[in-house]
Amino acid sequence: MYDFDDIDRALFSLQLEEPPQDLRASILAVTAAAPREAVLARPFTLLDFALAGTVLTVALCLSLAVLSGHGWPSLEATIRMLGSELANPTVLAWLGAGASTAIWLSLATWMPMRAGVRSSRA
Amino acid sequence: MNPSSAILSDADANLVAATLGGASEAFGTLVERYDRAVYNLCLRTLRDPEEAKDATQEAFFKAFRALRTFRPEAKFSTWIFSIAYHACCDRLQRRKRFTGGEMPDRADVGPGPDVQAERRDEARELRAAIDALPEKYRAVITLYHLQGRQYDEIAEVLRLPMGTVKTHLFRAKELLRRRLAGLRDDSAAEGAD
Repeated sequence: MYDFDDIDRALFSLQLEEPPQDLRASILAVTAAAPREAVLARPFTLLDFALAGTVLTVALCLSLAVLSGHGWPSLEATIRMLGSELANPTVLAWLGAGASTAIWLSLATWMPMRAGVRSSRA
Repeated sequence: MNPSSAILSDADANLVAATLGGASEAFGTLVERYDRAVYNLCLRTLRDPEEAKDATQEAFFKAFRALRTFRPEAKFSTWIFSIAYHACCDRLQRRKRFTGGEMPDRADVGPGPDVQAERRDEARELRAAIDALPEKYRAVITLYHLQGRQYDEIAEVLRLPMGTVKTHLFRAKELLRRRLAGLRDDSAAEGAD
């Protein structure tokens, strides 16, 4: 009959299993042995995000203008509208909030940080 | 710090610093040091050698890319185990999504005659019993007994309170005790026949 001491003894004497022979090589191939630029490259740069955001914003503005019955705005009207909006402190505050969020998101790595933070207490 | 001299030092934090300083081979030393342990954690969590290999590779790749976020005062082992364990959890979630439900536990599948024959060996019996445990217990047993990690480190890796880790460990051992006792009873009954 097994008791807890038997289980403990058996578990502590259990050996770790050998990993596949090519495991280490496959890890090194995508980390230490890989070209640094390839490993650290992000799929999209900050410029890509800025460009995509600008295109989407312009498309949204034009769509709203058409849907609201004003038709396609002229270039002069668009510049005038942008000028008046950029002079508005509320709009500027929202733009600042958006930009800071975009910068924060671009710096985030989405990796688990908690282990590192908490183990600093140990 | 001179990256080459840092590699000579055996502290994980120095190896991380050397890697960040441009000496990629220092990361190779970290891989040599932890690949077996990480693989075993993945293997016990996923119960699939091929997927465990992929998860191990994924964990080291993520760690390498995020090395700048590693805090020197933290333990590298805790960090890499945490990345690996959560990579495994993501894979288990994906499995559930693709199979449309919980993966059947090995305990639910009765062992065939060939499997029973293999389990004569005590270590194999024990490994099979560990594999039959629920996932949360498998991870605790692997980290505590097979890898000799302390309660606080396991709590950090699994993101659980330390009390829960101790409870999991107790329940896991109780389940193992029952299962192994059951196997012994079955063997004794077969012997009597």
